[in-house]
Amino acid sequence: MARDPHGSLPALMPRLVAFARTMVGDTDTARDLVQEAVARALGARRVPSDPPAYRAWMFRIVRNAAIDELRRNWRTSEEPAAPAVDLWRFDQAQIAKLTVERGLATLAPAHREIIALIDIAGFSYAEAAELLSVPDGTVMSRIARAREALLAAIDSSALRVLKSSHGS
Amino acid sequence: MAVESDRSGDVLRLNALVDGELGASERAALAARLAADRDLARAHATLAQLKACVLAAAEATPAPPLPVPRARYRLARAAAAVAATAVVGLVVFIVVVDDPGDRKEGLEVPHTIVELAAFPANPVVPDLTAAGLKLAGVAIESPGGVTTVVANYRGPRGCRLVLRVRPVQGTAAHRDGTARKAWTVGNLAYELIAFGMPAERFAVTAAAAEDATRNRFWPPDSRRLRQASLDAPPCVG
Repeated sequence: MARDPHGSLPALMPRLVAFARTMVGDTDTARDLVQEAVARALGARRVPSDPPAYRAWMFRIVRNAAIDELRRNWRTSEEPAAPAVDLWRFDQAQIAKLTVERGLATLAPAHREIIALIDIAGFSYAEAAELLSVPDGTVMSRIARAREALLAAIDSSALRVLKSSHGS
Repeated sequence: MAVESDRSGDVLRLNALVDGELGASERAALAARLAADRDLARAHATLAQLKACVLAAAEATPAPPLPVPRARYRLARAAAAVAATAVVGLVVFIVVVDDPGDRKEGLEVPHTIVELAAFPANPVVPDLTAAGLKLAGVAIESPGGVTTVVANYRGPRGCRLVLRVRPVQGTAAHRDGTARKAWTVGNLAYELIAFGMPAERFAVTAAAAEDATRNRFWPPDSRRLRQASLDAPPCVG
């Protein structure tokens, strides 16, 4: 019996959504994008049978959908919507999460994308290079620059993880 | 200049180390330098922490359920993928109404009929194109253990609707949205949830949706639906 080419899809879903969310900056839009991308993938006639190739193929579909969404937004919206937050329910992990999210939101799309591919999707430099159609060295320098930009964004953000008073 | 170049080379190597991209000899050489150079070690720790934070922030995003494609020829793959999620241990059949015998003469009937083994009847997922809402996906979820068909509709200007259908014996597990309309048809409980849709537009749309589920082969009042969507301000939910 032939193996289901989409067998690894359920396991990929959380990373696909996280990747899309980093690209477009909005959870609901990311979930919708991934659902539409997956529906498209399930209906595709030619599906890569090799698991790494399937994974790259799925991320490429989501990436294309995210790029389309960004183009649409670029035309129609002036400013990305701020995430809905409850100001009085933060703990340190939430502050760290928000700080990173807000830092990511300020990055150039190419920087957000490379961080999403390497840190969230977990691609190697070679895999990311193939997906982006750039040399490996470009991925190496781009991820380094993107992280520096993210650190700078975090540094200039108003949010800080408060230092614990224990032992200090 | 040479110092700057060294620094940028170090940054590249530290990133590559954090990403597991260095070969054994490069890794060993860098590890020796990290042990001796406090600033370099601090930079490495920062990068490693940043990578972990990015991943942790991303993992907090819940994934949606796998969508179930509408067309009949996709049935086998969809069922296999949905079953693989282990969310639903049921065989799922989604068909689009396309049997000419199911049509009233001269009328297009675009509603989606879901055939689900565990359901007492086949839920109808209304076509709301006339209301400016496109069916983005149909999925099977089991919130609180109650198998539920969930249809997501999206439209321009931020408009979004969710239709949930479950057997009447089950209890609704969600209380989300800004407006809702619930009704039952036979043994099925329908619930249409709006997210920021103006009340008047939602009332017209929900009435059309209910009509479609009760009288599945009857098309909606397209003109009224279209007008309601054109007259309404953007959704703000």
